[in-house]
Amino acid sequence: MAKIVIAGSGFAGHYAALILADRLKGNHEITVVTPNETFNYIPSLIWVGVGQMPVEKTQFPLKPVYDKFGIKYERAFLTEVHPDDNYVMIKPVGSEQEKRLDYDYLLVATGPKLNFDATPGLGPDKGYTYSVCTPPHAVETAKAYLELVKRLEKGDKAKIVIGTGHGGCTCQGAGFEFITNVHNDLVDRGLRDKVELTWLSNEPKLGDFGIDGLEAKRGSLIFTSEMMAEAIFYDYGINYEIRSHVHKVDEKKIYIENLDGEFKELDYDFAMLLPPFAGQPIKWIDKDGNDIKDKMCNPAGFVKVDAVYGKPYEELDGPDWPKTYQNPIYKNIFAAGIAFAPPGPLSKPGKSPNGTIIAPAPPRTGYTAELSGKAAALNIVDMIEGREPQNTASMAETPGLCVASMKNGIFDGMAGTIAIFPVARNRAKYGEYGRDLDLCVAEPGKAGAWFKLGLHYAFLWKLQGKSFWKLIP
Amino acid sequence: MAQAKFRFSDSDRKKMHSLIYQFLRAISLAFHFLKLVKIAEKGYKTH
Repeated sequence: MAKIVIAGSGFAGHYAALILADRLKGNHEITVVTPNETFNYIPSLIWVGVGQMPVEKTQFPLKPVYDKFGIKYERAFLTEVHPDDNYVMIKPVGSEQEKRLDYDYLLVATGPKLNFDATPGLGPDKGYTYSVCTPPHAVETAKAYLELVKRLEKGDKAKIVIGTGHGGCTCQGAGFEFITNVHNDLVDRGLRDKVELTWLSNEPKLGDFGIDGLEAKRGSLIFTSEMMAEAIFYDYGINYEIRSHVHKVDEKKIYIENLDGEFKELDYDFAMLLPPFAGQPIKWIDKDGNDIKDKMCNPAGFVKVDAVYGKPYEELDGPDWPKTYQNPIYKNIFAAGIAFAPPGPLSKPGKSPNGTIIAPAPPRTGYTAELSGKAAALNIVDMIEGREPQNTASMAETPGLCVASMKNGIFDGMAGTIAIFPVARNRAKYGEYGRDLDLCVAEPGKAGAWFKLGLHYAFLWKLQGKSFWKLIP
Repeated sequence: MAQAKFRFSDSDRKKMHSLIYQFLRAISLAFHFLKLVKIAEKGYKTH
């Protein structure tokens, strides 16, 4: 009987656990290690953050699902991995006593550490800005936003800044969703004219979203995500500062520098700025007690897998992206979702004349995380059954499906429907654009709002392993 | 502060807000998504 430990219960880890339980049918031991009690459907937290959805609607308890699937559940943090001796150390939530857990196969899908400390003054815990990255953050954001709304109703005016809080951030799409939802919420409340709304981002161009933007065919023309974002911001009256790094935030101002080396100060009354991501603080220790984190992880702390690392951005292409998500040194270790180390950025990295790096990190959340989690899970099954890992989900061979909500609602909702194939440009296969433009879509409309709501319920249904869950992609 | 350049036309805006047009687009996009999902799953050899 093989012992499989999965660290993490997000899109990659939780879905991988269900796939493994389904494929292995109770013949092997699967343990999920996670500090969370609930699965959190992060894409809907933007609605929680504007006070339009109760946080409970984005969550479900993990234990009943794992009990149903025969999966062991350890509510704990992963603290150490000992890959030579095939065990991990975990620290149960609320306890100082660490515990050893042996494994034959390990899947690291811990998601990111939200690195608010990278920018002084950033974040709701030690700083002045808000976030929608976790359920408690989104709840806190909604509280602060609704307090601001009360002040606006009394006649105050306000400056709202939304976007990214560091030059190395990813998930700009979530910030885009939040700012457009805030705009529409203020319009519905009749308060939009009291607010100056500014998009602040590290993207090299508008609509880049950390994926180097996208192009889609529109009749005989090429329509880009930059054009889509430009037009939406014009219609919504949103100003923007892009190509920017945030140096620090204080109670009243955000101090930024852009790729031209210009330093600016943005006044704000309310700011939701996403943090950069880093790998979780996990120790990697070999059989002699040496720290081997440098060997196992990239400098940001994400776990290395079967990617080609070290190439400059200009030379990076589709074949360099990981396929099986297997660690090259320890073949029984896999990493998926945000936890795997990408070979490089998707968006063009930049450096200001002052030497400040402004380089969006590649997003690998949601559907992309699920694909990598499933590939890793199926590869573990392959190895248990005596085969080499054969399952692949390279970001250069799989699509990105993203619906960017701008307003929630059946009849008056609005969202940008975005489909890209493949996510990572693959010029070796698709020539000039590195993508198959016939399969790419960038389209705002009500249809996207319906998709966004549909995806919310479909994902929550599937990930609870309810009837016919396997039929939902 | 920068201002946007590309603009939606009136016809674009009408399409975005038309229930009938969007209903038809939703059906078309749903099939498109399913096609892409099938492509994604090609990598799963022992699925």
